[in-house]
Amino acid sequence: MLSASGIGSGQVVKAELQAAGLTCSMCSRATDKQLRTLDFIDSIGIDLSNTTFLLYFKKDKAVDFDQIRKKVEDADFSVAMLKVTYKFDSLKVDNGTHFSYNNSQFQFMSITPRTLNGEVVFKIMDKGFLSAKEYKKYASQVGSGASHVYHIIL
Amino acid sequence: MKATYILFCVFFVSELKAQELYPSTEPASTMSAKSIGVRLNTDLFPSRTYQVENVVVQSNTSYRLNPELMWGINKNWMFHLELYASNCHQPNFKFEGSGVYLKYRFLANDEVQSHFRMAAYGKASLINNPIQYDEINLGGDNSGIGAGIIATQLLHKVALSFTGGYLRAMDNIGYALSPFQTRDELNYSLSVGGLFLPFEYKSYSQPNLNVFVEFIGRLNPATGESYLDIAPALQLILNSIVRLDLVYEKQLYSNMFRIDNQVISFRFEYNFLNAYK
Repeated sequence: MLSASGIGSGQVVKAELQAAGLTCSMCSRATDKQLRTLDFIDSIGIDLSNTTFLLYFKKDKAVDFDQIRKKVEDADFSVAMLKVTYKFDSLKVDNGTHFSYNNSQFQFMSITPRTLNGEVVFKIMDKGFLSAKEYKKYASQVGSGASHVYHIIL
Repeated sequence: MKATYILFCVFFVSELKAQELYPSTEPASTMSAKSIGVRLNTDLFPSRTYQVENVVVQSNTSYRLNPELMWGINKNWMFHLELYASNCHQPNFKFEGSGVYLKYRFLANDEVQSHFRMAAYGKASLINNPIQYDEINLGGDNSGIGAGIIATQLLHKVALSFTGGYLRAMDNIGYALSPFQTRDELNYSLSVGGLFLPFEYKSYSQPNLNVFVEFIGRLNPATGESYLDIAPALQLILNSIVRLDLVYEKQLYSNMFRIDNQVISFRFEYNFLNAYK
């Protein structure tokens, strides 16, 4: 497939982060505290029984997903899933299409051609954003990858 | 043993969730980076009678205070500084020395409902007590060093942890080890833990009640002397930041000369998450 260059005109609305390796509410609270040190996070909702954090972002700040991953790892845990709700502005996509946001490229995988408009949820498939087991399934498609390129699926 | 059987039934049959904040041993996981924790451990050694070469000796009830400062350096490394004071070796309460503990978590295979982690640790203590017992205890009785490996596995609804290590006793401050005293020991433990309450996590403010059973053993490879203890424990977590442990460690068997064959421990822990930038 040919790669088409996208334009960064969209906006991150919120993200759903599931953490792995946690066994207690102390662990969840430690992760919560780490995430709150990020200046682009506005508020955090939590589903403790599923160790899932709902991240809401400040409108005037750019979201850095690698920083989110790093903060979870600083709490001595791992990201098992990161689902991002992104507001698209009529972006035509196909496999390999990428768009830019905050100096990073987001490249679509396993997608049928379509036009994305309004709020769409995508999942980051790169190492450190999935459980080790799940990453193995996608490792060959994602590759070691350059930094600042996120591979995403809808 | 009936109590042990009941506890095992509780672990494997009920709707428990795994829990690895073991009271008597360290898990392979580390602390959150840039966090500081403070602990106050108290050990109560009940009075007991024992025989030394046809002489019956009655020991006093003694207790040990052990304040501990914990530091999460980064996601892989953590450090503890410990102080010891007790009346275990004399009638008066006195300062006994200090110890340091360093842990490096080198493996983490995390899944949502399971994980396997491994860590290496080292411990060193400087103690000023007379050396009275064969059991090497870097937690207040012996100067020395120790090192080992910890493996923690979340399996179904329980968290299992194994620790295996080596202990080397050195001369205490003011008291040298005699040629007849123990210099080397192997330490090992198997721990199992689960969350008992709440049945469903809803908020950080819910108190958590955790249940643990730990088996703690020691072997002197030179003499073959060994012991095995069982240490059931209850743990209360308050506001997801305060931890209270109550442990009763009881000897299952031993042919080693020890400070006591049972100990009741209480611990208070408070964590300052992201204590500094």
